[in-house]
Amino acid sequence: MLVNVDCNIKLAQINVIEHFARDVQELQVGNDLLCSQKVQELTSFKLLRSLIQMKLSEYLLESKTIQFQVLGSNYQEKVLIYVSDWLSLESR
Amino acid sequence: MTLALTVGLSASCLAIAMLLQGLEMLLAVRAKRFCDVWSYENLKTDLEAGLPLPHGVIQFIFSEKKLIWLFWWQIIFACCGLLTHHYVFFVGLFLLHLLTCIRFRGTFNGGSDMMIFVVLTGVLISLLSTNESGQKLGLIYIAIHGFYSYFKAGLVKVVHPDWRQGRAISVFLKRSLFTENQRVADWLDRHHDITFVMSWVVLTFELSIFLTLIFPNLMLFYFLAAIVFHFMIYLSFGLNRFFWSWLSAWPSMIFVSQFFL
Repeated sequence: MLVNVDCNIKLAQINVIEHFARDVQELQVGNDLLCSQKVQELTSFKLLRSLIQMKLSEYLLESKTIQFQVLGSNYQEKVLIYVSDWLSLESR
Repeated sequence: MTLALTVGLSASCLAIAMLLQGLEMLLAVRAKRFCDVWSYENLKTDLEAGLPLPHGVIQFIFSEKKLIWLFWWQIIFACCGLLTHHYVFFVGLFLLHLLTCIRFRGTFNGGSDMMIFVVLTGVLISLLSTNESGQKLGLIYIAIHGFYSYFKAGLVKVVHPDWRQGRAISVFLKRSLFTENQRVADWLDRHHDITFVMSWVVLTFELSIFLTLIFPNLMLFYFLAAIVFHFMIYLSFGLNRFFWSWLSAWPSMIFVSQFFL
């Protein structure tokens, strides 16, 4: 109740995903195709990539390249928001 | 409640909320899993594009090492503010909170950060005012935001069929970070009449908050209900910061409702 570090970090991690989803949807306005370079320049993308990398190492899943997708869900349907290119984690 | 007591209580509650947040952030920035994500490297494009300062200065303020000092200062200022209620410490807390929000691009805390800003502004107006009307103005500013925050939350919920039909609470519980809430949500799914009543209790509480201005005698009941409400949100979703930041707005809300007695 007083200090809740773990929970607040997890909530902030969820915020990163939601923030990225919003940024991607904003980029899509007026554009049929998402420019992969523009997405990768987003700060929310950088945060999300670091978050994924951190989660992978937490679960001892070491990988040099990754691909991820972001899904939106309201318990009735799932919507695919973004699928990344294959990303090298070493190039950071 | 007297004017002086209300200003003092608001300042104390705010200082406690900011002390706890400072402690929490200090512990967070020491965790590797935190710094790996919210590193200066990841955030610098936004910070350098958004702040009219030399890049060296931005790095000096917002690098991971300096961040620890930012939160140490917050803890020190919050302790001094709690003990003295002197405006200088609250000016310091305002600037530190602003820097924290800029550093995390608003992604860290959301609503509770906004309420902290509101209470900080109101408390500063009250502490800096030399006359009674100025001090009251600061409290009215906090109270308006406090009342409206509940009413707006109720308004957003009531237009949603899931809330009106009593399904929303279990849906939100299923999304909670706490996996044990899944069992509570499943139980609530099987007892729809209970979730229906719970939904309407929340909606009625939030939408009727302005009634306390017409019937100020209800204020104590609403205050206790708010304590229970925020505590339940903490138990369900772990949002401890909402509890403390909204608590610091309540002395002003109680004070303003007394105008109408």
